[in-house]
Amino acid sequence: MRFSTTIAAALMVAAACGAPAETAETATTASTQIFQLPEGARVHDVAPAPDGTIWYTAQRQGALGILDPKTGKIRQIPLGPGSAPHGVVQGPDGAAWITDSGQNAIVRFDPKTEKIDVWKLPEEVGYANLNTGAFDGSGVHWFTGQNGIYGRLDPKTGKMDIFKDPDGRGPYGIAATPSGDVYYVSLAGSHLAKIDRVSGAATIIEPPTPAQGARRVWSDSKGNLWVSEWNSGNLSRYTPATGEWKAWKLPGDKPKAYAVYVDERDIVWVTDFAANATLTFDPASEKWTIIKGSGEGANVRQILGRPGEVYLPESGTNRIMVVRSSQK
Amino acid sequence: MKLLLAPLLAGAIAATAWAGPAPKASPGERAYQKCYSCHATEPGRNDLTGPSLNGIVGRRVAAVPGFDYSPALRRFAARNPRWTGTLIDRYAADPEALVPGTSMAFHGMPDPKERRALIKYLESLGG
Repeated sequence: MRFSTTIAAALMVAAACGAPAETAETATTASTQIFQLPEGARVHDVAPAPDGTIWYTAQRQGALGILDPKTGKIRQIPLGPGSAPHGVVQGPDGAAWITDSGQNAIVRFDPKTEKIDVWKLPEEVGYANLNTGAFDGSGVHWFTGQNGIYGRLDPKTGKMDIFKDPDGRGPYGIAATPSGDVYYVSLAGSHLAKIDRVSGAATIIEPPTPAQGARRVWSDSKGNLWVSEWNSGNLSRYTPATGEWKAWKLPGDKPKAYAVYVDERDIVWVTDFAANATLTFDPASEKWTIIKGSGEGANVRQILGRPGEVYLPESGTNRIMVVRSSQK
Repeated sequence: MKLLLAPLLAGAIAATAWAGPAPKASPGERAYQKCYSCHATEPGRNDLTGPSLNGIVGRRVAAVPGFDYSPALRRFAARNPRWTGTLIDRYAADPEALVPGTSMAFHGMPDPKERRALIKYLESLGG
């Protein structure tokens, strides 16, 4: 099922950091398309596929979904017994790489052959609650497990290494910078961490807000790290070159920042569960725009896109909203 | 700023490396590992994403003082005052189905045997 609309009038802007939401219109125009997914799929994460389709994890149905936004056609590929996929990203090989918490495994789906490969975590690790993955500049897949681990899988050799987070439980979002470095955040540990790609060691970088609940992380084009803070409701930025942090409170009442993504224009996208909305933030003007969820409790837990469009997987409504935007 | 180095475990996994279940963990303790990242079992430890599960069986729903529950769970609490074993069983099986819009990021525990073991373990925590 598809719905399309132009929502320029629905986009609201809030004046700069910390201010309550105002209702002035922004200069951004955007159109949205909403796709209803198969009943019970419970979409969690999304990623652009090489052929223009959109991959999504159907967490409740143990499948990788493939949505063609041109036709609305949807297919779901079962990933294996007990599968409950959380994250999906496109690898440098054009395949879908999935962090499958149900199988306690990294799963690869090749869109050309539809072959599925499964790398189980070592038995002695136990249940890791696998979360999200990212590829470094050398093509190595790094991933997080919320029960207190992070790890790497070298696609060339199939060798997997598991590391303990210094603070224990909490590793959640993970992202690579344009230079190929990898950072992850810990929700329970309230920290950012940079991974040494050779040794695998993690260096903790603590945000200035205590117990902020760093949930997800993404890099802008300059390699600055943007962090969504669940507990504090802040969007924060870490600049590796200087070690500086800066934070902006999301507009609205008691915000709960969940997902974060930076698009090709360096516009930052962040979701707020309290407002049932996705916000965009322009670091240059410090202006926010607000895109409401397509239904009550939309609960967008991750954001990803490609130039010109951004995907909002609504776990609560089981829909994907595609936002195509341009600046006037 | 705190700088720490993670213990390097490449190629070899230390016995105390992480919070995975002990080799002789009970089925309930193993089931709890699926809750571990967001819920502690220590009494009063409510600084994680979810509140402590200590004393959860029979506890009032969405009633830990100071905990920031989702609007969805608060609405649910108005109709379901206490976490009975039956209610926990249904919530663990499919959180989104029982409490649409819940912020709890858990895909569910489809195996009824695993859920029974979990509830038995939670009951054993007392509180």
